[in-house]
Amino acid sequence: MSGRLTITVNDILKAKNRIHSCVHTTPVFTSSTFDESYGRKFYFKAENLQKTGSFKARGALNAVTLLKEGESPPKGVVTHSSGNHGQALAWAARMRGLQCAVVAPNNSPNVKLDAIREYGADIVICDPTPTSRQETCDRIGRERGFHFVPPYDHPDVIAGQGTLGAEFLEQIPELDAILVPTSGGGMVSGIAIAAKALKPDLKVFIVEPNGKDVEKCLRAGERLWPNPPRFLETIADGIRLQQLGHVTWPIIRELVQKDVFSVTDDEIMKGMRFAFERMKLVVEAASGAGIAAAMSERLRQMDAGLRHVGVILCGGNTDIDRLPWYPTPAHS
Amino acid sequence: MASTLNGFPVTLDDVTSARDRILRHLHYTPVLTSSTFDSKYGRKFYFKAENFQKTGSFKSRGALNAVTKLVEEKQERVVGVTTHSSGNHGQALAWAAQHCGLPCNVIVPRNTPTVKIDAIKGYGADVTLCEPNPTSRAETCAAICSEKNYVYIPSADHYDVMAGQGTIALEFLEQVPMLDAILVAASAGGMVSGIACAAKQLKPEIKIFVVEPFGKDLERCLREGKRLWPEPPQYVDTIAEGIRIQQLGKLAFPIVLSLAEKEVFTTTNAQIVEGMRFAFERMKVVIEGASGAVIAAAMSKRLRRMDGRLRHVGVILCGGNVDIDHIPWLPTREA
Repeated sequence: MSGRLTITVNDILKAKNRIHSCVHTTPVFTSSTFDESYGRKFYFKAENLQKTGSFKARGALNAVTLLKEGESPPKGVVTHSSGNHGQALAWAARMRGLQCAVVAPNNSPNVKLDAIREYGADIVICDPTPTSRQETCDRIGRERGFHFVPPYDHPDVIAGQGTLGAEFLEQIPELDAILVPTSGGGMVSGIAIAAKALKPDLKVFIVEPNGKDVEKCLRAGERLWPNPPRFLETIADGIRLQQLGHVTWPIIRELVQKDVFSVTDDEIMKGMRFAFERMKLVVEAASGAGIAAAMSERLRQMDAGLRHVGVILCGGNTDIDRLPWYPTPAHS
Repeated sequence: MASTLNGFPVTLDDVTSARDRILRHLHYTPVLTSSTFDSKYGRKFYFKAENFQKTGSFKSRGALNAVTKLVEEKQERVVGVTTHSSGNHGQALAWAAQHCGLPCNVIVPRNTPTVKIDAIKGYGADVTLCEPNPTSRAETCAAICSEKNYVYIPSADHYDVMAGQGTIALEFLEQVPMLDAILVAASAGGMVSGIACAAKQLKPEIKIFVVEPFGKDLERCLREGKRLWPEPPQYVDTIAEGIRIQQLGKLAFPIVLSLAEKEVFTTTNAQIVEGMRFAFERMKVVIEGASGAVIAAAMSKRLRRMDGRLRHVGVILCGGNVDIDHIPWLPTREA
C-alpha cells in the first residue's frame, strides 16, 4: 500500500447519493435540561437509530456499493469484527446481493454473532488475537473470492462515514464544534473532511477512553503507541482500539483539534444513563463517552464562542441484558 | 350506568385550539418505523414516540392545555393547581404549572419511588404524601383544594385534558395520513378518548383499539355497554404502572364505548416485557411498561388474525419514564 490517498468532500457527496435511499437520515435530539446544566446548546445526532444500530452502515454500504459497481465485482466481502462493522457489512452485502463472511474471535458474545447471522452473513471463528483475525480474513478472501472491507482504514469507508458530517451540517448549520467518539478514526476522519470543505471554522474534537493518549500523539505529530496494537480497558467496546488507523492518522493529524476529550468508565456510564433517563434513547457505551465529553469540565472551560456543539451518538448496540450499571446481568 | 354519546364531547375545534395553545411549548414527536417488525408481523406499523415528549410522556399535552385554558378563562382568580398522581400526570402538571407561572401541589402515595418524587419536585411543585389507595389520594387532594384554594386538574377525566391528548391524533394523521387503525393503551382513558374524538372526526373509518393490562376486563364492559367494574375503584396488578387504574373515568367511558372498537387487546406482564425489549433492543428507544403493552398488542396473534385491510397500524408509545435502575428484566440493584 503506497501513495497518498486523498479523500475529498466530493467523495463524501458521491457516497451520500450512493447510500441515501438505504440509510436513515437520522434525527438530531436536543435537551433543554442538558443545555442549562452545561452552558451551551447541544445537538445529539442519533446514529443509534441508524440501520444496523450504528453509523457503520454508512461506510460499509458505500464500500460494498462501489465494489459491486466496479469492473470485476467480487463474489462477496469479508472482514474481522464481531461488532458494529461486522453487522454493518453483513447488512450492506445483503442489500447489494453479495455474500459476506465475518471473522470473529472465539470469545465473541453470542448476541453479537446472532445479529450478524440474521443479516445472512457467515461467521468464521478465529483465535482472539489480531494476527489470527487478519490471517483468517486473508485466507477466507483467497478461498472464497471475497474482498476484504476493513472497519476504518479504507477511503470508501471513510467517505461513507463522512456523510454523517455532511448531514449534520445540513440539519444544524450553526454547529461550532462536533465531539466524536473515536476508535480507528474512520468516523472522525470522514466528518473532519466534510467539515473542512463545508464549514472550515467548525472544530472537530476526538473523544477517547482513558489510555488512548491521542492528544500526546497529535501534539508530537507522531504515532507514539506501542506495538503490537492493543485493546484498551474500557466498558466502551466499540472504541477499544488504542491506535488510530494508518489511513486515518494523517487526516486526523491535519484536520482534527489537538485537544482530546479523555473519559473514564464512570463518566461513560454517567453519559449513557443520561441518554437512557432523560433522552429516552438506548445508546451503547461509546455514545456515552461522547455525552461524557459534553458534560466535562474540560469543555466547560473552553471558548464560550463554541455555542453550538454537536455530539455523535454513534450507536445503540448495547446488550440490554448486561447494562453496565447493573451488578449482574439478566439470566446469570 | 353508561350514557349514550351525543355528538363529540371533545370537538375538532377543541383539539385544534388545544394545539394552538400548546404546540410551541411541546415537541411534535417523531414517528418511528421498523422494517424488521413489519416483516415479522405482516403489516406496516408506525410508532408515535411520545416517550420523547416533554416530561417523558404524552401527559404534558393534556396538562398544559388544561392549565393554560384555566388561566385564560379565570386569570388572577387561579392561585394554583393540584392533582393526585405518582406518575406521569404529576410530573406533567408540575411542568405545566411552572410553565404558566402557577404554584402546584401534587399528592403522591407514600410508597412512590424517590426518583418519581424528585422528578415532580424538579419542576418546582410541592409534594404531599398520602396513603397508597385511591380513596386517600382523592381525600388528601380535596383537602389541599379547600385549604389552598387550588384547582384540581385530574389526569384523564376532564375534557380539556382529553383535548390536549387529542393533539396526538392531529399530528399522527398529518404524519401518516394512511393510518387504518391506532392502538392505544388506556388507564382512566383520557388519551384514548382524546385520540378517538380527534381521529374519528378527521377520518371516520379509522379504527381505534384499546390496549389494557390483564385484569381490566374492558372488552366485557364495552360489549355489554355497562360499567361492570367493582367498587371501590381498584388497581390492576401489572408491571405497567401507568395503566394500573382498573376503571375508565366517568367521562371517558361513554366516549370509548361509542368510538373505540369492541375488541380490546389484553396484555400480560410477560408480553409487556417482550414489547419493551423490542423497543430497547431493535428500535433503540427507552419506553415504559404501558408502551410495551401497546407493542405487545401489535405483536399479538389477535391482531395477526384481524382484517388484512388494516394495512397501516399506528402504535402509541405513550411514555418513557421507566426507572433505569429497575428495568423489569434486570435484577434489581441494592442501592
